[in-house]
Amino acid sequence: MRVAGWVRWLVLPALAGALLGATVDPSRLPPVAGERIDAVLLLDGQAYFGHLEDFGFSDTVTLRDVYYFQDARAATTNLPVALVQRGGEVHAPADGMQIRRDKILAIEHVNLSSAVAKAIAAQREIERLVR
Amino acid sequence: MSRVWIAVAAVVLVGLALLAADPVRAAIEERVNPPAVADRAAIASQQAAAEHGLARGYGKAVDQLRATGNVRLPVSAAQAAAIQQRAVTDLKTVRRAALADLARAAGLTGDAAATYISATDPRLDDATAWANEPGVLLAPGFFAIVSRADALFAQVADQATRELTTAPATPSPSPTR
Repeated sequence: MRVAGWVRWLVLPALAGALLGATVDPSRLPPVAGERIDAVLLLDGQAYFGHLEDFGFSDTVTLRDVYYFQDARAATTNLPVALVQRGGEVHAPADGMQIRRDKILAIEHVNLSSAVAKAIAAQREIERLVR
Repeated sequence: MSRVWIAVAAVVLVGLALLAADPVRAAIEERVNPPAVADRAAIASQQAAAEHGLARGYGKAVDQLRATGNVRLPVSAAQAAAIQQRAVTDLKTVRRAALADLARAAGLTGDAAATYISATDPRLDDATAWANEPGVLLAPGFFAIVSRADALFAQVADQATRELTTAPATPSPSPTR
């Protein structure tokens, strides 16, 4: 079977490029840059934090290992909000959280030295210690 | 030659398609960029912030008891003192239980946990030093402990307040002829 030169040098690379573009999230390059936590801010004011999977071909984004803020004015932590890990709700959501793109106001990267990232890292250590 | 080339291209395309699959991608990403985990010092700092939260919750409940005790009560002074004493004992029990939970969450067990609780508990009697300290965003596990203790502190203080402010039942007068 003989492949024409223009197929070899144009169509196949274009196909590979298209597949690569759909597969790789450019915001996550280089792939060994360390953990990336994103904040997804919704139009209704709610904010979710976690590992974001955002690919252009989908009308939703997926957030895994999700945390969110909860009102904590009644608690004695001297902060109006507390960080809560998603998964403990009555329906025990298990496999990430799909968020409709048209409900998102902004997506921001969370600095790993921020209070949110520190609290998430501490929670992981607590889970490891308790296990 | 061209057959080999086509085979390589097919393998590359299949590989890319596999990479696009969610589970594969998630597994690779977790392996390449493992999630950050807090070190011992960060856990200790969070634990201290949680202890201060417990101290504030305990102090708030004791203040409520004290404020209630300062008004004119329908119960006798001896009854009021007994109710307050029992409430303070209950509050300390809640605080010790919360400290035990904190110890467990911080990886302390057995004697280490007992030593930690004994050493920390008395230090939390006076929360004035931490009353206005800037809050620390706690890990959800630590926050759950503080929040649960806060609810129990409030429950104990409210119950004692009810007992202090409710007149003791007097026997209803029996009908006379």
